[in-house]
Amino acid sequence: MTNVNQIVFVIDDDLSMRAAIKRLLGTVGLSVETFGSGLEFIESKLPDVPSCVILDVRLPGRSGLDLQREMAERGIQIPVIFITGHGDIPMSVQAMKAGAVEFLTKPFRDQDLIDAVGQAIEGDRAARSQRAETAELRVHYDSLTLREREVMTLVVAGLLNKQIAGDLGTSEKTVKAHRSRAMKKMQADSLAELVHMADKLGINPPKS
Amino acid sequence: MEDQIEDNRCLQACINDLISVLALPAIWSGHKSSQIVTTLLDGLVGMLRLDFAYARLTDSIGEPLIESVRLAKHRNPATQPREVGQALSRWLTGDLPTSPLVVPNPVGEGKISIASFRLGLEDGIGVLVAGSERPDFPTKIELLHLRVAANQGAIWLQEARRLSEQRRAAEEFERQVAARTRQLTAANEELRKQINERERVEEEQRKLASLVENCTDFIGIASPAGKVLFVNPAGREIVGLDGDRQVRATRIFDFVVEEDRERIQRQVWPAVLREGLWDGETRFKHFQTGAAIPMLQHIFCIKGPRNNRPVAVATISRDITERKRAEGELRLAQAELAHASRVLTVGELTSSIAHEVNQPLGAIVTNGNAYLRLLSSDAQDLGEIREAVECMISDAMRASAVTKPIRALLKKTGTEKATLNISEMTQEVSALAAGELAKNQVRQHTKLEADLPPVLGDRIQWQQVLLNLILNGNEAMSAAGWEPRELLISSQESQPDQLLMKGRDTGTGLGSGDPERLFDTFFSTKEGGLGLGLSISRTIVETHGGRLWATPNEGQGATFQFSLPIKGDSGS
Repeated sequence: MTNVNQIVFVIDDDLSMRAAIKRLLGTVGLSVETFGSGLEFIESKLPDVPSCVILDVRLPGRSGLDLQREMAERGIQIPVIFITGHGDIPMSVQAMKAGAVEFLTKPFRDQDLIDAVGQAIEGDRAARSQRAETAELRVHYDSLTLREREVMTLVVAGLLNKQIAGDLGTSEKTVKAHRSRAMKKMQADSLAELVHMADKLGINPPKS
Repeated sequence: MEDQIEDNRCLQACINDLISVLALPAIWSGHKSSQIVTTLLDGLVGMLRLDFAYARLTDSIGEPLIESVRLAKHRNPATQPREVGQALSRWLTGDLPTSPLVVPNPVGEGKISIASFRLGLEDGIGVLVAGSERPDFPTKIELLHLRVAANQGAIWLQEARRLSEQRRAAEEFERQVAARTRQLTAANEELRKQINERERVEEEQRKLASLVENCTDFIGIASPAGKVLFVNPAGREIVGLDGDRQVRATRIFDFVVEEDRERIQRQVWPAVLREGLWDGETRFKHFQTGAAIPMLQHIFCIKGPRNNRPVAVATISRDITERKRAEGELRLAQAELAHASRVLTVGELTSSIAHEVNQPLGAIVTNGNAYLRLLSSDAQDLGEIREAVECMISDAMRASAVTKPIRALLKKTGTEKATLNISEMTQEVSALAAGELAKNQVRQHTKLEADLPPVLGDRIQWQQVLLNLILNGNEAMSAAGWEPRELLISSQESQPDQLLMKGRDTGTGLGSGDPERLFDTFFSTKEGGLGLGLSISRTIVETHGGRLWATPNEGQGATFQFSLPIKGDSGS
């Protein structure tokens, strides 16, 4: 039973290892795509489904760590599980710092890999939905007028309508109208929800 | 009475004069003819108051013609005897006048009376002439005096001649004796020289003999038929022979170990007789212990002085036991060093070898796990199961291939010869080095001719050389950020009967110094490098009859390569 809604990318120059990982993950129903080099992977079209990358640290030419860096530069936000034939501590520290989810030394226990893959895919799934949610909020926010954005920023900073009117040099009544329109456009049911949205969008109050 | 007295006085004077004349010979004894003549003439001129007295003595053996004239005191003393002789000559030839003559005065004016006498018989000695202007000259008494004086003179002149001849004979004798003495002295000197020469030659021979006796090398002489004639003391000591008698009972083949005898008989001995000399190594046998003694031999013919045919065969040979032992020790030390270098190399590779072994092990474990899961799943996919197991087996083989050369490289070994396929060996060693190359991001290409003729040699030594060729190229490209990192290992038959193996890298190259320095023992460009790899590799290649060298590439990097003869004896 293959779940095509999630996929594991295996990048290893060792053909035998690639095949073995594909076979192992196949037994737990995971769909696997294999690559012999980082370049092959970077240049391929990646499906937009929850996924993870199993990457050999020591690849000929561009190393695994180099590939991890390049993925970040290209905005490929797929969690990485490193495997290595002969890992050393500095290398694993560097990989983990760069955001790797796991670092496994060959030969590894099958369950460790399966667990790591499961966690990574779940993490990617969550990250993807969060990225999707943020993207929707951004669309709503982009529909606000300049004045509405100003009012929203000050509202989520905890200012009263009267204070906002004073700051902006307008009437309290006008502020109220902007605030209500902004809430509606952002599809926020409460002030608390609007504050949460602003946080996700990274809207910070201006320094007074 | 007075006449009688006068006669007596006259007689007295006559007798006195006669006594004077007779006394003359007393002073002549032992004198020469010229002295006798002079005193005789002087005596006559004085006694008989002559104007002159002249004598001429014929020449005789040992004495020339003598003419002498003595004059009265008032006469010219410059008158020459020869002039007087010429003036008188017409009266002195042929028979002398028996009575006095009156002739022109040869020493003055006018006429003069002369009386002439023979000296000796038949004019044997000469003539005496007395001349006086006195008219009564010569009186009877004066004639008597003159005759007696002439006789006396002749006797003593005869005697003087005899003496002169005797003296001459004695002188001749002495001259002959002196000549003979000189001859004898010369002969004596010649003999002395010959004796000296013989002594010198003997000394030379003693010196040469002493050299041979004291030489610490084996010196021996044998007849062309092989009978031993002489062995010096050092030689006898080397082979354990006691004395000359024992030596003379041997033949040259008795000195050689049995295994070498046929070679000596078939090759060496005929070569010596044909070429005149032979150099090489043979083994002597100790006459008492039978132990083999390695000898460096210089064998040569000694030829006869005339016909140039060998009269004897000699050898000067050195016991090289010690040298052989030192060579053996050196070989052993070289093998130890090579082994140490291999251990070191493998040690340096440990980390990457572990990685290379882990790679297939990781695949085996993963496949094993997949296999177990496939077995326990409901729908057993047999095709997939088979594939998993096949992969496990091939990965296990792969892991074993990596470790296989390690065991050999760590083995301490002598030199075992085998026929080897150098391309296959290169692949084996590449597996060992693969991890190190991967760690270094080096891409290795191989271009190996599959059907190369086999090479004769020691497997471990060749693995060491090939591993060094690969790691050396790898090392040259290890600097941080170095680009590109390509290593090409190729083998080919470059010429008939010659194999060429190359390792071409794109590394830092050979530097500005002499590339040969790279092959010096303990020369290293790496930090912490021992500088053994290349020097050991060169030693190994050269002992197999090959050559190892380095050349800079046209572009980047360097090529290390070795050539190797394929057939024939490839050294020890």
